[in-house]
Amino acid sequence: MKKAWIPFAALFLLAACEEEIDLQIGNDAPVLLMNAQLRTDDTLHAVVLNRSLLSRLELLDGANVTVTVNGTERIAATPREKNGYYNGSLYCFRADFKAGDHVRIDAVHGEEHAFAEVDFPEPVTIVSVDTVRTEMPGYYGYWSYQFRTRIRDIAGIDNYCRVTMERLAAYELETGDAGERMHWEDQERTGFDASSDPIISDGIMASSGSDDLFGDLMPGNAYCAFTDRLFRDGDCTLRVEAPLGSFVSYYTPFSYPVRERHFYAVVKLYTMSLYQYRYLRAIDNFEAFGYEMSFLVEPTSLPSNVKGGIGFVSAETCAEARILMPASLIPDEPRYYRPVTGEE
Amino acid sequence: MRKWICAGAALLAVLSAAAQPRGTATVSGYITDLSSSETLIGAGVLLDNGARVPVGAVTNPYGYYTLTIPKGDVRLQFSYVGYESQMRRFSLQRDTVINITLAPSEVLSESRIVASKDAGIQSTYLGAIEVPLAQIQNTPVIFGEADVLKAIQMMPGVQGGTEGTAGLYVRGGGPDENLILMDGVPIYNVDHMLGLFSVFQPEAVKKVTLYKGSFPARYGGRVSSIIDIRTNDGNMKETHGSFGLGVVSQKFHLEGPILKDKLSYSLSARGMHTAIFAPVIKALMPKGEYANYFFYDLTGKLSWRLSDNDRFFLGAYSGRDKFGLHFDDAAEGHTSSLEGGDPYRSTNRSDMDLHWGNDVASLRWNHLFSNRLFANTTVSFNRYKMHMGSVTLDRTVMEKGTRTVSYDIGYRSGIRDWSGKIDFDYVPMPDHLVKFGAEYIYHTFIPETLTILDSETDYDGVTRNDHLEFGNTKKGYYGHDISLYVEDDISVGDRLSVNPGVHMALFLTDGKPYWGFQPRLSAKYAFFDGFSCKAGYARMAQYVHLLCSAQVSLPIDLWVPITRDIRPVTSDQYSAGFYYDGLKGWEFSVEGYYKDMRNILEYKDGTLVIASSKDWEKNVEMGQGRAMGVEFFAQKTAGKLTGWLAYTLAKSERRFPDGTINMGEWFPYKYDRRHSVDLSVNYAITRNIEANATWSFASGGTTTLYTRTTAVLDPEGSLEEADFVAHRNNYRLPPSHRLNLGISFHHPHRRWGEGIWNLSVYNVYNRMNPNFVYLRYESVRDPETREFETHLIMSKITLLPILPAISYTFKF
Repeated sequence: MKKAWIPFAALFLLAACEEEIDLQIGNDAPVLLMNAQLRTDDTLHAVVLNRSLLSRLELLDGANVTVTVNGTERIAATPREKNGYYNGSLYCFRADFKAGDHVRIDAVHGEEHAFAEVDFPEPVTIVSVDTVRTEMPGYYGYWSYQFRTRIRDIAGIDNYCRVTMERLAAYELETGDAGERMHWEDQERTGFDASSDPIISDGIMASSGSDDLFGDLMPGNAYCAFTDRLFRDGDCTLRVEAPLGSFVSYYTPFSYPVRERHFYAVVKLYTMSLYQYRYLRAIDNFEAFGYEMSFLVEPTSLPSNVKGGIGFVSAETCAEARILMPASLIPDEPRYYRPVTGEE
Repeated sequence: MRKWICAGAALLAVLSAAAQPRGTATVSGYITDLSSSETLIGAGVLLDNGARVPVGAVTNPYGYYTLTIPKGDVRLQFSYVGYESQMRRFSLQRDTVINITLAPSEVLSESRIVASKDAGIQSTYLGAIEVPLAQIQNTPVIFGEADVLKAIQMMPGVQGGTEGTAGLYVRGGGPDENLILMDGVPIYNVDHMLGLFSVFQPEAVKKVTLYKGSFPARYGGRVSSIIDIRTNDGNMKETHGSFGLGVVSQKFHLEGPILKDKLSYSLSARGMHTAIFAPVIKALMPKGEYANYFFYDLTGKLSWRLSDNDRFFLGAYSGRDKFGLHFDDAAEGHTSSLEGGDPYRSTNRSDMDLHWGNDVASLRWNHLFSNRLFANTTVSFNRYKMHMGSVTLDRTVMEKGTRTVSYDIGYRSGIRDWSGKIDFDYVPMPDHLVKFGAEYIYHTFIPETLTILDSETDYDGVTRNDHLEFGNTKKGYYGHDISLYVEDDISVGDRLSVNPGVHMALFLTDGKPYWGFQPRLSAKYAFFDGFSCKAGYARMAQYVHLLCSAQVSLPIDLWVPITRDIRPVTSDQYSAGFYYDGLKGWEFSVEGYYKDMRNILEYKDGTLVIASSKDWEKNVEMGQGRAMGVEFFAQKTAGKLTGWLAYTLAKSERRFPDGTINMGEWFPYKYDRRHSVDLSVNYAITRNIEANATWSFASGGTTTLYTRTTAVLDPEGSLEEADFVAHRNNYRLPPSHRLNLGISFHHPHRRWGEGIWNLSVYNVYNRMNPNFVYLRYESVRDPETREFETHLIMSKITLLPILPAISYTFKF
């Protein structure tokens, strides 16, 4: 009698079983995956094709990619050499898109055919950009710029935007003894801090700086995407900060003497569709916790606007403003970058 | 305050005297059990005057009835399901008090009650069901443990959560949308063993009523259901009790008089500890590790009949679950692999525990201001708390000294309520039963906090202490919850009864008031003998939320209040139905509903669901829900064979328009189950042998699966592989069903009482219903192409296959 409990205990502990369920989700049925980013501020565009399988991606070489603009103009995208940057097959084309354009991209590979249709939205405009120079807190002697970008919403519709900043270095180089000049520009994305802006951080989860144990893991807003919820049909001012050094670059690929040099901060405001806004927020989630589903993280649904396949083709209309950084504030460059003026 | 109440009551008494029609008088009193003096809730009083539709009344939740009828010779029938009816004939000349005692019947007899019943087919309300206590006690469930909430899960429109657990999802609502009241006091956590058992001990329960449709105006605070559980008052005549030994738990119940017919007590205890399985657990776990678990429930009540007009009840409940995990490790060696290194000896000890539970205390006062005005006043305290802790001690002993490092980690949350309420039952005229009252609840939400105490004593004896705190640093969030209600059950002629009501609420939090005007309306029309139809509307509001993951449900799920930014959940429910009880001993109903919910909360896509409460409002989204369905219910209420068959066709969806969840599109709720069937049968084979069977079927719930690999292209041009999920809850799990059987053998002892052996089998045909599911990849080589193909496999874990159980209960 004393050991009568043993069978019952053992029964419960050992009876738990594991069994497989047939998912019936078409294991490994290949699907064409198409991704592309189309922007009005760029003329060279790339379509990235893959074949999506259950657990991996395959390259999709040898496809025909056609771009149709406004139903009439057809452009054939040409395959590019493998690029280590992309884990996909690249098809590139040149086009100068503008707001209101309707673009359809068709990708055909054997029997597989997928397409996406996107419209370039009217842009939310930049009214003005003011700057305030402040000393970076905790960094004595390091100067930071606060860019106060006033933007104007498009009335009557919901708008979705993201903001970026770029550094533009413009050089006038003397290419010959006779005073020939060459204009050269170097423009690239630069980092900035938008975490204190109420519009850009609107609706963003607890993130870095939070007292929560895993607060730093919470998805942030890496691409500074925002809605016009807080300034619908009106104006608002976005406040972002960046250190002065972000806009200074002394490097040129040429050894010609530099006759003039100007540094600009470029504020770019991209207007996008609601779906693209959600796509960017989904990417934020992926970047916070990795790209695989996790038990303690709510699943993230990923928008797809590709018919006959999956993927996302985005279309962004860009508005930009250039701010010339005052020469008086530009620190002296290192000696080895100092321009050759002939006076030394 | 008391002055105002008395003045108001006196005014009502005067008004009622004035309102009473000439030539009528009021009969009132308590109806109690003959052997125990336990008040009977919902017992009927019927004026047998040969009318086509007889006049009657029922007892309220405190066993009190009042009936105003014409003076003269009257015949009153007093009846209650499972009791012998009594007929009283007398000449009624003035207001009269008649307290009645009814004797239990061995076979369930039919009791047809026509008036003002609070629940059931005869009541004016829709979706109001009295869950038969006999059915709760006899329904075979897991490990042979009778369970109140498991019996409720078998009602139409009610779904269980994870297989075998006590979760409740009523008419498409969430787990926090059910107000579960124990003697009128809300219970926040109702689960033991992650939901395998509920905290309610059937021996301590007297009445269970489920409301899921046109809610009475006296209830508020949740949007999907009200489960009103009333506990035993205690035997006023003699001492009785029971003890039970089961496979998992042991239980004990004792009740009796302290002062006969004046003061009684009722005490119930139940507990389970894995200590009795210790050898098995140790054998299954790695050396140096040990796990244990226990839970207990303690329910007690003192009932004091001060006079015919005043009764007091002091009730208390305490319940806990505790899970512990212990690690012990030791090592010896040298600091260097080379001989000659310093020898050391290190020990590591770690204790982790997770415990959670409720404490409830309440004091009630029943007072009769007049035979037509009854008042119940309740003050109560209610607390739910959860604590997860871990203590780790590392100790390294070397020649140069001893180094000790300890970590003490604590993670806690909870909720605490103080409340006071007063309820009145008032019969101003024969055709009206007015209920009105007020309630005030002071909520303290103890938010999730995590503290880490880190202490290190180095070899040189120097000690360093660190104290880190994460999560909410506020000691609490507070809410003032004030509500008033009034409802009137009106009989309009013989056939029509209407119950209009309104529940008004004010919730004050963070300095912001939320006003809630919640109209309720139920109407019933009796066509002809036995056939009736009902229609109803109810608006409900909810001021507290349970933050829980869409994927897992844990005791660490967090109760949070509404705030400045998080608005109350509100719902509008429309329901209508047809009913038939013209066949003796049978009840049939078909009821349809449509429920619209607003401001329901869910974690946003990509949220980490633990330890993220600091800015929890940013992590959740308010959205909308809609649920609709049709419920068919056939119940046999009398005879040797009793039970019911319920079928529900239902749909429940959610949408979060801001787009942070499922891109703002509608998606099926996690427990959106299209079809569910529940059959429950009790059969008294002989006087001493009862057989029970239940069969349940439910369409599969939903879960979110990635269905392939995709690539995301970020604005910087980086392409990353990712799991592709097109929609939340995109996969429907297979249906679950099971048959449970039980048989009880009663052995009456002439002197001592009765022994009951219960044999039961849970999941008789061993259906592998899933408790948990997870995904994994499996590579299989194609025999023809010799290439590997990857398959996505979903595995389900079934914790509850066929489980026989035996239990013994001795009643004395």
